[in-house]
Amino acid sequence: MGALLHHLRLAREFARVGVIRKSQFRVEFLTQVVMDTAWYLVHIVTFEILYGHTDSIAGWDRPQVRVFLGFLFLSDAFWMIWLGQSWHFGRELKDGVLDSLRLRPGSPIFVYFFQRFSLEACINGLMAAGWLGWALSGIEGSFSVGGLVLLLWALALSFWTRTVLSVLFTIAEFRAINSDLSNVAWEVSMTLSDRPVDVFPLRFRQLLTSFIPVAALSTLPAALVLGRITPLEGVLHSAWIFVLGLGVFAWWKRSFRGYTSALG
Amino acid sequence: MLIRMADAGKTFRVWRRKEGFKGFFANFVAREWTQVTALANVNLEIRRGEFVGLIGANGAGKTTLIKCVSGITPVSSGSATLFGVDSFALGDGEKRRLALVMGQRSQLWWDLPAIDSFRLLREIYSIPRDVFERRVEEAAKRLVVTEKLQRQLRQLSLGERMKMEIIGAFLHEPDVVFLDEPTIGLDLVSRETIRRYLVELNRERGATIVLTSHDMEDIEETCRRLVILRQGRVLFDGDLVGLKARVYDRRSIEVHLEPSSRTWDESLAPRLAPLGATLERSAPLTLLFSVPAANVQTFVPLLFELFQIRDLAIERHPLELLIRQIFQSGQAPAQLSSGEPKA
Amino acid sequence: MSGAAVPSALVRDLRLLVVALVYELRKVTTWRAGFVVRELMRGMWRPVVMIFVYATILVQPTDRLGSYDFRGLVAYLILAASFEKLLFHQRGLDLSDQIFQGYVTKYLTMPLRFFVLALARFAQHVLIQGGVVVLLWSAGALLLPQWWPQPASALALVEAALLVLLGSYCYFLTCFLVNALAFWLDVVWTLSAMTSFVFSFCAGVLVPVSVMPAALRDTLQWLFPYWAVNAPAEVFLGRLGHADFLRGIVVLGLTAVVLELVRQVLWRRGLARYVGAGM
Ligand SMILES: Nc1ncnc2c1ncn2[C@@H]1O[C@H](COP(=O)(O)OP(=O)(O)OP(=O)(O)O)[C@@H](O)[C@H]1O
Ligand SMILES: [Mg+2]
Repeated sequence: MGALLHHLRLAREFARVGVIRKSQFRVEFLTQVVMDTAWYLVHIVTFEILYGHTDSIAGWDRPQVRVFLGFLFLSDAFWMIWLGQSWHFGRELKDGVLDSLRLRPGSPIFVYFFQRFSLEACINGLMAAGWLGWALSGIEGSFSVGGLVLLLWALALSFWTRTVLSVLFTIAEFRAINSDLSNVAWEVSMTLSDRPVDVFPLRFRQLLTSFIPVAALSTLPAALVLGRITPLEGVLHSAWIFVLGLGVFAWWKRSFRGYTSALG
Repeated sequence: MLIRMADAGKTFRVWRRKEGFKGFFANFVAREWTQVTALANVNLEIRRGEFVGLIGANGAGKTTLIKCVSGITPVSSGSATLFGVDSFALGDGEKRRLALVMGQRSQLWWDLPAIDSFRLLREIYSIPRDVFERRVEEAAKRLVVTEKLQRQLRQLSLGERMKMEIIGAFLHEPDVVFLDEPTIGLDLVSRETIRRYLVELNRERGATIVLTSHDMEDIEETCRRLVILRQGRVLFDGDLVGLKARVYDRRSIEVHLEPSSRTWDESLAPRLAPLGATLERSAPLTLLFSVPAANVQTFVPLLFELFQIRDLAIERHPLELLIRQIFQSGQAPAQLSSGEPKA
Repeated sequence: MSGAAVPSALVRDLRLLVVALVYELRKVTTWRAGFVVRELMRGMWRPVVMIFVYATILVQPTDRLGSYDFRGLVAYLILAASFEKLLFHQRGLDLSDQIFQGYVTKYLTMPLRFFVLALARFAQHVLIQGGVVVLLWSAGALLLPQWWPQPASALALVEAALLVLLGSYCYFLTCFLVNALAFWLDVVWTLSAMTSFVFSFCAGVLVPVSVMPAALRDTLQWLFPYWAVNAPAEVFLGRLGHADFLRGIVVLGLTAVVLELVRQVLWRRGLARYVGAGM
């Protein structure tokens, strides 16, 4: 409990510092928001074009895919708000500049991965949330408390998976220094999570829901909210990914022991 | 015992690049690895409150030693412990009592004002707010950087940044602080400020400090104990005062010759020997001798007899000369080992 | 500058380019795992994933998307994947990091044009990816001959290659521009990741431009990404002809000139406000 509070306070401090960083670089807001809007639009337009030619993609109709995209956007925004540092991990590991991470108390995973809070990405978060809200309003069935709980649960699943995947991919960098493996893995997994995993063949789909749980970024949360899977299935998936996450974190910490810093 | 290294060794694996077009493919397919020994059989014990100077030529293994003791990297053989715990398995409790400053590499956040880095550290080390504010204010005042606290780290000069690093390192009042060349590239005044600050912290709080520097003045003015590394081995470990006593009973005499004077040649050596004098350095028109203090009176007239002298300066033997001898010869001053002041 | 000085500067640049290219080649192969991951794996996944999407849409053999049936789409996407791989990759240029961390400072005092060093990256990319694509292509043609697209003619192959090469150069310039924004911004990699994504949409990597709604299609045909991937693929397949190729060369050529001018201005402005880092 004390540890949790400590990390929450740290998160608050990272956020504060993130805001300070930005106040010195205001142009960034504009470029960031413009580019990300373009990114959202490309996703939306791609699906709209496809739905101009068909009614269903792997069993998902147009309103459902819009919800799917909502989760994709939000989970991406979460990544950009909190986990942007993971992008630099490979380089920093290669340059041997992680010495201080070794020396300081606290969870190195938390202190490293959450250190770069991005304020402008919060605007993306707002846009993404807006889209998700709009997409949900296009679905049959009225608003309910149970629905809200389901929504929060789905979001938590998506964000947790994001963190787990970010950490998982950087482990590859420990094995193969400067291989860019984590960034390539990130790009590939992003590409895989761009579409409902139901488009893939069965075996591959199973991989994406189990060991590389890309499906839990957007497909599973959307399926949960849309009732495409039952709450029980949702519980099972969530439990598995929670355990997987703990395993990944432990693995990362073990790998970090092998870190050799650069020359001094 | 705060720090203990027992038979500690550290080796690195490096690969050799082969030249040429064929080498280009050879490198890709099969690599030649070699072992580099950075530390070998190091035995070292440091007690609470000590101020230890760690010196050695470039590549002697100073930084590696610090990294091994502070738990950044594990030793490859033997053991290194800090606070009685294996250095490489420090828990949060131990980490809160430890700090590291590296001259060439920033421990603070590059794109943040120093004060914000400090606030982050406050959370990381759970320092109470009022204590934190008092410490920052006081330290910044002592190191004369109060005005610079609000500036981004990357916009500070080297010396200003170094002072910030030091403030950051001492914020949580660590019991042990490692400083790897903290005065690299700093001006005289800043260097002195930092030295004084370190000595005060060592004295007031009993912080144990391990300092490396290539500037002997840093070491002389701060440390009580000196450890000399050579090619990864401890060559000398003992009392700095004793070492100083040894050099202080000698004088160094710098002689500037007239262009018309005879210059130094080996045939003159036997004339110096009876007086215990040695030639330390010779340039065409400048000679540097080292003489026991008691023989200066007879040595100087001899010099005037041998050379046409334009100018001459007699000084206490600087520690640096001795250290240089040690580095070059690889011989420890035998009678001085283990902190025994010279009889 | 006098008439005699111009060729000598050019010769110097060329010499530097060769030296830097050798250095770049050596560097990419220094990290073996990195070589395999970066050079073999990256930059072709979007079209590959789209094949699965289309497979679920075009279930009946008679189903069509615009003028494409499923087989045609697969052929098109294989080409799009290959060409996207040939295109310069935004990760190939770590310029923004160099700017931000102050490494550029050291080059500024040297008697050389910094851009030549970046050009060496481009040349390295073309060489290595060219090799990789030829390898993958041959492997695919051997393993899946019934799905693998064949060039409509030798001329079509050459024309497609020219378009891709020029398009890749335009994209390289775009990457350089985005990276140079690091003089003003402190986080650029999100921008370059987004740029690559938007680019691949405009290039028809996800959906062929000809399948898009008319207004979008007509707009995209005036932008260079279309001519860097989509058009070459269709030239290769014989869906576009000689006149289209010429139009593509004009669009790409003009774009390259404009981007080059912008690059020069941006670089000069950037340097003017550059203070380096860590004094
Ligand atoms: N990560 C590493 N990989 C390979 N070799 C290393 C590594 N770190 C250190 N070495 C080697 O170990 C030896 C000792 O290096 P170290 O950095 O400890 O020297 P140092 O005493 O700090 O020197 P300096 O005074 O130049 O800072 C050197 O020969 C160096 O080349
Ligand atoms: Mg060193």
